[in-house]
Amino acid sequence: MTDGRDSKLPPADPKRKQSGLLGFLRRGPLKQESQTFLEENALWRAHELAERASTEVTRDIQRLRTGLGKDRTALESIVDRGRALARRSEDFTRSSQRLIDGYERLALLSLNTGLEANRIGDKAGRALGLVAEDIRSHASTGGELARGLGDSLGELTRELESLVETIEHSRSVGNELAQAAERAETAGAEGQRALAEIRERLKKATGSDPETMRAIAEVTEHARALVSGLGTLTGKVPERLVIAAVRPVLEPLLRLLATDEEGA
Amino acid sequence: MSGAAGLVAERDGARVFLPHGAVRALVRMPKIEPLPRAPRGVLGLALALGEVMLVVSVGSAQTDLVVCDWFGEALGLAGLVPVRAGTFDEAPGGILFEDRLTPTFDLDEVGQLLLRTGSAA
Repeated sequence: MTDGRDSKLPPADPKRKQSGLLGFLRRGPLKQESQTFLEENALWRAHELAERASTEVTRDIQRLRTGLGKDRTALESIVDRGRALARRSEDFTRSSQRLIDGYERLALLSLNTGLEANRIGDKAGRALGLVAEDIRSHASTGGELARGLGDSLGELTRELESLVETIEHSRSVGNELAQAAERAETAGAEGQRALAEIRERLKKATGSDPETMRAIAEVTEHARALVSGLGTLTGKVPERLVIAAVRPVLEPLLRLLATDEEGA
Repeated sequence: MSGAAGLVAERDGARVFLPHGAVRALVRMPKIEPLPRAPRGVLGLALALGEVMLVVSVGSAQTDLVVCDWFGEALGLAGLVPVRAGTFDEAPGGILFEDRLTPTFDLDEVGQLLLRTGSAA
């Protein structure tokens, strides 16, 4: 903290004292240097925003790539499992076909037995015929159920194959997205390199750096707040009172500004 | 009403009755060797139940073969789907199966075809 008794600061200008603190602060437009400072400050701020945005984008793309990579692995696993299920379903369909064939043979056997029972005739033939008919009836029911099962399994196989196809399409889209994300990441890195180069060139061209500019901008903000506060007090409080209150704090600054103006 | 033993089969959706004296057995459709210059309806020769027999098509189904007895010779009828073997109530021109008249299959129709085959050979 600096006060008005700082021996390093130049002595106060009597004329300046007469004109008063508020008078000094109300003086004319900024000089060319101040305008340049504002331009440089705006440039550094824009550069900082671009760097921040570029970093965020690069980070998001990296997250996206990681997510896509995980998704691709999961999809590959699902496709493999789906294919395995479709193969098993096909095996079951073939098994159900063998089952149907078995029932059809059994039905034929029962019909042949029925014909044989007719030839035998008599009581024994009738009994054999009844057994044959019972077997035929069961074989017929079993055959119908096996056919229904076969149809359902066939449908399930087709559905699974369609599902696998859809997932494979999604995987292919995911691969394209991963490639696009990779390209975007490369472009982002190039953008960051270009921004770093701009930063170096800006430093050389302006002789300033973002940290200094940020500090100056903060000081400017504080000064603006001070002026605004003084403006609020104008007319409400006697100027003499205000000057008496703020002079000890602001005098070193006034001397600094006066020296700067004299030098210019 | 007396009973008639035999086989009820489907021939292109219509039911027919084959008397048990005419039917020897039912087998799964064997491999059929086509006969050159055979008339339409004669599919060829097949080996079933240890015998070589002529196979005649009487319908569109191709799963089973009804082996019939044709003047002491085995004859295969393709195109029939066996439905039921047993004894059924007789009715004029056939039997009653599931309360409906089921006509007796006309083996003469096949006979005419075989006669034409004989003349062609």
